[in-house]
Amino acid sequence: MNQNSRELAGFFLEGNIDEALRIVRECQRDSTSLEVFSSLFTPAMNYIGELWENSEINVADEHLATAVCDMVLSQVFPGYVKGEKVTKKAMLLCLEGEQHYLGLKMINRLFEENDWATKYFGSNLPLEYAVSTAVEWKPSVIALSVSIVYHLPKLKEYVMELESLPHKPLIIVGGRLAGKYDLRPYCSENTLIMNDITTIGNWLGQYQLGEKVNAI
Amino acid sequence: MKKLPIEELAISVTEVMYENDPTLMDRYGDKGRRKCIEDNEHHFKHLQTAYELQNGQFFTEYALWLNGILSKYGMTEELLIENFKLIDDLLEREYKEYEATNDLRNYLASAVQSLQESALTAAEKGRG
Ligand code: B12
Repeated sequence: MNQNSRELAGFFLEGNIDEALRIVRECQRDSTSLEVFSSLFTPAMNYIGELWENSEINVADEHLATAVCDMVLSQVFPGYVKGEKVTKKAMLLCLEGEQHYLGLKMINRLFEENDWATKYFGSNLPLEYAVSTAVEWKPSVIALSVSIVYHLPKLKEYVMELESLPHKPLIIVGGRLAGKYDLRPYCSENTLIMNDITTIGNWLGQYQLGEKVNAI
Repeated sequence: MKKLPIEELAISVTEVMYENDPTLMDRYGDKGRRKCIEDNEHHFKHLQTAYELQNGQFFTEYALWLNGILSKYGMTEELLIENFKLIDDLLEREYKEYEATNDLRNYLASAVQSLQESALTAAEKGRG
């Protein structure tokens, strides 16, 4: 892990928002959002997880770090001003019970920066509510995030039901478990499974490019 | 598939543990007992998940992960192995008819084996 991430994790644990903001803003000057998320935030939070696993920090420390991380994300990446004609729509949600939403919040930002209108639901969205919003709003993409193994049995239900909606949205699955296991058995052949944030970053770029080519 | 009565099972296992070793109550009190029930709920939750996904690897990895955490608090793998054996006894005794019992017992056995193997590797590293 790089020095910056370690330092950032330290400030998260101290509850030092000002210093955390300073590091992130410095890093932001010559990096894309994708790079800031993948090389600064993600390793910092994973390091927090390691410290907890090794009982070097307790649950309260972990929660404080999480809260500070969340606040810093919101301050550094506030409401995104979208371009003129935003026609692409995406919904982003965590499976029922899933509380790990920080990663998805970053993914949401990437969608926004690529001119998507998004509805980002944070943690724990039961399927029936996801379905009712999707039926009404008709997003072309629905992104699902899953981090904890005991939420996995629900994944298939989400994928099957959302993929069979009348407007046939594309389902993209990601989160900590997508990087660790083969999630294909719990998806369909149409589902896109993405191991990490760089994969979705590239996909969003390609999609944008495809649109431009089609427009010519 | 029928859901396991997780809370009930966790309480039964904890009761047996405390009956087998009365000093536990003296050492850890009621708080320890509650924590033990909570831990066992997690064990059953992961067993159930492995069954629903038809993949014992998920339970074994959970056991190794948890054992890593417990070892930081100075606990040996014996404790977890003992706990899993009690779960196995309970399933054999009272859930013979239950459709998942065979699979669950297999997952427990593989997890115990992996815990023993990892303890051996750790001991060898310690010596080497
Ligand atoms: C912060 C944290 C929490 C917070 C979450 C708060 C929040 N708002 O997110 C709280 C305190 C609530 C929490 C609770 C728990 N946690 Co927790 N948590 C973490 C920690 C330290 C960091 C997670 C994080 O934010 N990582 C940074 C983000 C950016 O990474 P990410 O989520 O993987 O997301 C990236 C990619 O996966 C991807 N991505 C994410 N979503 C999507 C979606 C799509 C579509 C795509 C394409 C990509 C994508 O992009 C992101 C950017 O890189 C991790 C450590 C770890 N290694 O992950 C443990 C960790 C995940 N937690 C763990 C555990 C055990 C728990 C609890 C069960 C603890 C408990 N006993 O209560 C609960 C379960 C809660 C629940 N029901 O979900 C364990 C899981 C271990 C295991 N083997 O299952 C971990 C690994 C800690 C550890 N080292 O042991 N946790």
